[in-house]
Amino acid sequence: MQDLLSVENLSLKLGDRRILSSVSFTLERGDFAVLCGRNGAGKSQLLRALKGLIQPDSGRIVLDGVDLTKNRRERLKRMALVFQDAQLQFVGETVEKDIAFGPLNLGWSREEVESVREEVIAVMELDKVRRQRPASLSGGEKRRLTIAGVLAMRPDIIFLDEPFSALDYPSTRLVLSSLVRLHQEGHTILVVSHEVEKFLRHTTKVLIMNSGHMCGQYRPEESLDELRRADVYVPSLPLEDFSWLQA
Amino acid sequence: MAAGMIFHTRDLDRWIDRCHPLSKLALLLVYCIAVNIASPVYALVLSLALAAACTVRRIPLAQYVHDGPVFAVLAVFIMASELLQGSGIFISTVETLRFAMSLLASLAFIDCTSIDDLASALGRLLHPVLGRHACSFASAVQLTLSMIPMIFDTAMNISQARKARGASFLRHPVRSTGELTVSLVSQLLDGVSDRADALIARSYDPYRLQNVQGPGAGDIPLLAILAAITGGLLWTSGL
Ligand SMILES: Nc1ncnc2c1ncn2[C@@H]1O[C@H](COP(=O)(O)OP(=O)(O)O)[C@@H](O)[C@H]1O
Ligand SMILES: [Mg+2]
Repeated sequence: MQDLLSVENLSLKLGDRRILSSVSFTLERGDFAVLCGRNGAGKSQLLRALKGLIQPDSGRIVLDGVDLTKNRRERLKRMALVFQDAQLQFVGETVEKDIAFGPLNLGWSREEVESVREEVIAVMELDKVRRQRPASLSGGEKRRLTIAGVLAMRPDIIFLDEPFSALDYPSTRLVLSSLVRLHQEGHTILVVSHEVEKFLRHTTKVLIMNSGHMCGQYRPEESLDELRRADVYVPSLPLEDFSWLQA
Repeated sequence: MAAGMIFHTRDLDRWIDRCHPLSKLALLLVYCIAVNIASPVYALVLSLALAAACTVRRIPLAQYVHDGPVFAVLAVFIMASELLQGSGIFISTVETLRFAMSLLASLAFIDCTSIDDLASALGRLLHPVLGRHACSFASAVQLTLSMIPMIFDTAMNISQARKARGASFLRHPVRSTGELTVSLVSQLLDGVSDRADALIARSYDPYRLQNVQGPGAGDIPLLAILAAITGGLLWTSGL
């Protein structure tokens, strides 16, 4: 099967600092991948470079067989990025308006915008708060709204930067169950997180980074030792128990 | 706090909420001018009318007073300075009332107008004259206004963080002001660049002409009120 996203030898410098050194990996359509690595490994900058917020110095970003390294605009449109800080991403006065913001910018018709908005509100379970101000939502609702906001733009891939940070147990479960549902519906997802005990069971691929290098990509069942070697906290449990969705 | 007050926009569906934002803006401007230049008696009439309208419309006045003590202080200051000039209690009260009513009118306006809609409507209005610059102007208004809560929040966070570490503004007012400003500017710059990223990530285009509903029949009463205020002003000033 052809890879949906293929990243080849991506390198990035910010000032004098080498942030990414020849990073390569692939995602297949329908993958639910997790990217692990210590703080400062370059995970967030990698997502920003893929999305098109910063331009890499060298390497290739191929989406669905087309080289989009130079086509920043297309990458911005087709790859969604949910930032770590939810608060920064709200651009609408109400939940509804925030969700419609992206589709309107893409120039979709009123009917299309409304239909995608309703669909996304249903998927992310935001119906009860649809008329509230984003700032007034709870932590879990905010996180789901940030996902809803990018999902509404019908991206090919969704990147999420530490989506479980600062969430309590129930909120984590809600966000996680929405991600699992998106995956089941066929979305391709890449999550940056070191909290593998919360969701590793649901993933299809594990990527590990260390100081700007990609150490490797693994199947979840073969990743546990590699994760421990990368200083990720990995409890001694069977893989089936790496999920907060159980009971 | 202040940000909550200014950007409170309750999402209600009253008649006034559905009026065209530019009709409401025009009414606000005319009202503020009228209340400030009218004779004392007409100014009183206008004040009573607005107070009545706000009561009927259930503007959360108590919350505004609670959130914005700075405005109360300003009102007292205006009153005191009028009295010190020897203006007499009636004139001083009227002068204070003029200020308070301009404020109340603005709050009532903000209470029922979405900033996004206002900015988009301005863009539409200016588009025939300025072309795509009108859109970027509207976007600038929208972005600037949406930035204000961030400024409030950042300033609040910095000052609380300083207090929590034992800094006292009163002991070193000059040094504190300098340090506060430096932290505020640097944090705001970070905030602005993050916000720009978030907008780009959602394919934001400042040159896009935004759709707005045109004015409708619901605007007629609003324009009638506007005409009445103007008429009253001309009549009481003897023109
Ligand atoms: N604007 C910048 N200029 C220079 N270096 C930066 C900048 N932003 C981040 N870095 C550095 O890039 C490295 C990777 O950061 P980041 O991608 O945020 O790591 P993480 O894996 O924790 O998400 C860090 O060492 C960080 O200090
Ligand atoms: Mg990070």
